[in-house]
Amino acid sequence: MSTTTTEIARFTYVRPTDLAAAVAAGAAAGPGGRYWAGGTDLMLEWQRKQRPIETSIDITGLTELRGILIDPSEIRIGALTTLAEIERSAALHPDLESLAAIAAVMCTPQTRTLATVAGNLCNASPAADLAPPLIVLGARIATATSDGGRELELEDLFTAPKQTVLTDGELLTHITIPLSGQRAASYGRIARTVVDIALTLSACSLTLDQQGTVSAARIAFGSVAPTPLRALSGEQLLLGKTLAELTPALLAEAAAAAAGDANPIDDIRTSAAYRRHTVRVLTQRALAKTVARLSRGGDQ
Amino acid sequence: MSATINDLAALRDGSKTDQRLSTPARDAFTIVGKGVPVKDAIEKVTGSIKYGVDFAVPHMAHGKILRSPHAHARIVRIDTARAEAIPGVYGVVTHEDAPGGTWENAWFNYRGRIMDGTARFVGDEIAAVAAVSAEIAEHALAAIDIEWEILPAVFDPHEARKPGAPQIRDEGNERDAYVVEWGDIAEGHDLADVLVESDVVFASQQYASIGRNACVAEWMNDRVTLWTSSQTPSELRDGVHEAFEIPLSKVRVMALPSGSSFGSWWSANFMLVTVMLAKKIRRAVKIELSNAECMGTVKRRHIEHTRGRMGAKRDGTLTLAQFDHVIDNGAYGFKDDVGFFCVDMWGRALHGDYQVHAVNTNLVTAGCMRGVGDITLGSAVERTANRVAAELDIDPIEFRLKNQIRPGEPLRMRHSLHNMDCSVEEYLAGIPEELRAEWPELFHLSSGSTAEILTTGAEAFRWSERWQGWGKPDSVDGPLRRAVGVGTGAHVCGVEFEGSSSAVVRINGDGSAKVHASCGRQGQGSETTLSQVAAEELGIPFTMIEIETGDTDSCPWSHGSLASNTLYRIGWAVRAAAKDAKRQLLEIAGREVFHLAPDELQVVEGVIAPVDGSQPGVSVEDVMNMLRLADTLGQTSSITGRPATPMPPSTAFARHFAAHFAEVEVDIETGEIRLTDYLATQDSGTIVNPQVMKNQVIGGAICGAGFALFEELHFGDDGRVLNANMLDYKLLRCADFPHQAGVIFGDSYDPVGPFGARGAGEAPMAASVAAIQAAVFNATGVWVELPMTPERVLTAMGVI
Repeated sequence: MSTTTTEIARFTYVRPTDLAAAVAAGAAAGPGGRYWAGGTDLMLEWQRKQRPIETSIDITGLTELRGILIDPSEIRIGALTTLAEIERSAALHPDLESLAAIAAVMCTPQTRTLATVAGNLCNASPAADLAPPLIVLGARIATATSDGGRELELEDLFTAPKQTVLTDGELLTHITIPLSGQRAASYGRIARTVVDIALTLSACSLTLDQQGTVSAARIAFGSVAPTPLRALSGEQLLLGKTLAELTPALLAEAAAAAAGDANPIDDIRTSAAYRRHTVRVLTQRALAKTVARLSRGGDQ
Repeated sequence: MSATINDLAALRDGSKTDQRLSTPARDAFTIVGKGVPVKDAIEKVTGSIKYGVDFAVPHMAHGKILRSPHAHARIVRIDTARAEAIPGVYGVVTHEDAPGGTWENAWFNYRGRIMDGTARFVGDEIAAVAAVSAEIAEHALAAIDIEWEILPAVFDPHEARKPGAPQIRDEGNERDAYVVEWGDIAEGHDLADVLVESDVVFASQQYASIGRNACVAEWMNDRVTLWTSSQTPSELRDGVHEAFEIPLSKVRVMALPSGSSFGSWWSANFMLVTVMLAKKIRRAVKIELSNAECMGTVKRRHIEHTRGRMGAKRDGTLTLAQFDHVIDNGAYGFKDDVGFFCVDMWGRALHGDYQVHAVNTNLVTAGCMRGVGDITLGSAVERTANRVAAELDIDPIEFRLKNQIRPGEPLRMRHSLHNMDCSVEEYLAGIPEELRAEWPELFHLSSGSTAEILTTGAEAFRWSERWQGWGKPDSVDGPLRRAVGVGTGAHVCGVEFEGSSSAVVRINGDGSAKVHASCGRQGQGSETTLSQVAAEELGIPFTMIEIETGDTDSCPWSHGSLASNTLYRIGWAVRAAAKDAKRQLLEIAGREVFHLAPDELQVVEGVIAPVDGSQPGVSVEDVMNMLRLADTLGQTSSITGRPATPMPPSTAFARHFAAHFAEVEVDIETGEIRLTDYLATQDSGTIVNPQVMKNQVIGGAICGAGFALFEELHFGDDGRVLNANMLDYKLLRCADFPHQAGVIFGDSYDPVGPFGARGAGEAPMAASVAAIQAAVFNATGVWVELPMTPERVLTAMGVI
């Protein structure tokens, strides 16, 4: 008999005990290998047969990839840090406040307990909630492979829906947020109910130098392009301005310019027109909130 | 009955929702009216309760269903050989195995054979495989080879009505129009000072019950038993009987609790597929549906389209209500109406004409969902009435008090006539006079209305302070606009002339009692409220009463839990059966112990004693044991009671009413709507269990709010459901609803329902949709189409 029950979709399960073993397993598995972190997206993909899994490499035991470390120059977030841990991290550092706030409105408490930061990023959903707020904090990611690893800007991770620049077996190990100057960040997010992915999301950050002028401005969007998107057009208008010069009119202008970078689509959740309109509204509001925070002495 | 402001304030903050405004009759009740915990609370929180998906029998196979990828197609050839050859496969069924019988779900929610070789929607059942595991069964589905003849499909009900449209059913696509009319429409037009036209489309709502379902079927020779979650055990038994053309006595349904169901889990074709598969493989089989199957292949609410007008005199008197309403039945729905009880609620309109046209399409079957007709046609009527009131600058509460039905007034709907095959006079001629004497006046509202609850609700909600006039917010803060709205709804309390519900009450030798009443356990607490009714009537403590709801071998036929009828109709039957059992008990006690007539005795807390206190009491247990010791008396050791008289046809005349008050906050830059305050008032006659009722009312309000704000099935160009999942089918969570929402009950007393109670489940949905939509209008100045997504709000306001 040519047909047997072994054809039924199953995967090989591997549980490495250290990072080196994990990336070795990843390399060996090739394109059919998937790292299992929280499993919250992976399990659904598997159940829905959206992406085949030949080898599931369970990295949940790699404790070196867990937790948040803060030193004077950077915040380092381990890949396996859960959304629930991010949610509780606001008191650790002011730069984590906006990140913690957004983690708190993601999915459900049960899912946040399982889901990881790296999973949210590597799943590469255009609506990944953590991507825009991390991008505006200038986050970088570090990866490991069986022959080394690399560092890159988070905004360069994403290439298309559900696709990243990571190669087969390449494992995201941690995220770093460089610390510099007086910075404040805010976000706005529109969702339908209390448990929902974002219909539109906008995050922004402003950094003041010693003279009190904007030395860095970042705006990033979710759900308005094939990938999380940095909206460079709006940022230029804000650079070099003092707080007093960041008038509502200028913020509106910057928000409109930023919204011009959005490239949204119609889908069953909402329309492109709605996304284009609201990403501008959210950006304007997030900028205003950020300016207000800086005016109160910023997050420092 | 009047309440003080303090009472109302206490009700409003929730501290007093347990305590109804009482009447002397209600004060005498011992258990009816008490908010006792639901009987299955501990089973639920400990996980020991068994739903369909939890159930298993030894040695059972697992089945999976092959579903059509085409919206309309005929099977030219089907070959199951490859699938059958897979190791672990027990067998495959196709339409070639299907019995010849056509089966019907209650209220024509399905009509057809189990399989007949034609697929009528994407997801239609085509074949099924049984195997040692669900995985192997699923794998084998892909090895079934089918040659299809693709047929033209039609998805729009208006298109499906046209000559030359693809024909979906042998009976044709369209049912006969359901018409309710009174007076003279032309005169209604002439009398109107203001006339408002409406044209409203309603998307399909999905039941989206949190629990999935499964069915286990097992044949023993020519008898079959089914275990599945169902609200309608008796109707499911009838469906198996019809499809397989076997006697009812050979079908046993053991219905399990469904959890939230909203009408989803009555009878479903997948249950009959399970029976067919079990018969073929001669082994018990379980088919468990995935969430996508539950949401995309069973049934859904109809897509509906209301067009019409209302007119009124300058003083607010409605002169005219004229509506034409089209519903899509999907592939296997066969309804010719939706239960549109708004017609009766607004029945004071001088002239009326409502027409419903039901049409089949190649979309997944549509059926009755909680609030059927109410949240669609009913909310369109509410919206039209509100626009009339706005034109006349009349307060919505005043407008409703003027134009909505009161007890004793004629019902326009005459829903029952629709189900009768003779005239009312002919029907009545066959009823003995002594029975009819007890009945309320035919085709007139028996009790209750919106009047009392609108008035008490308005006071508790501080309506007159908060209401600023039509289209005017009561507060503005930057882009945020807050406003209030009110909406009303009504529904029947069961469907008359569809079979009389019955129940059995058995008093056991130890003085406990068991109720057998076929109904659903979908979280509406019927196992508790029906037990309270039995306890009250029997005089036996509530804790000594248990109930069997699912076993059709022990429960007499009933319509099941649909049409808001459980407490009213099945509750009537339970009380009648309890009365009969108690009468037998007191006859024995009177004869053997007290030497008194039964009506000189009473049962209180399980003790039988003379009403006049002339002799010490004897426990029910002792009387029952006397029976046992003295079985030469010809008595059995248990007493069985059943309704001794036929059920009055009064469901034709009983309605329950809801009036809801909502406050919304609309962000006019993003279109987001937040519910910021909510008060639900409900007139369901006597409230048998205020805790159960409060949950029922708030649950309805949340479900209605979901339909008002987000819930909508999306269909692809090929008729496929695009969002058969909880990610993109948005249900409101508890946290989306104001946690301080209050509930106030009305004070009417029904002449027929058990201890004055009526139905409850559906009116809250209707009132919720109408209240929220009106509040959004008052906040924004525009009527937003449903569901009022942020995008639709901005579109209606002209922002995008």
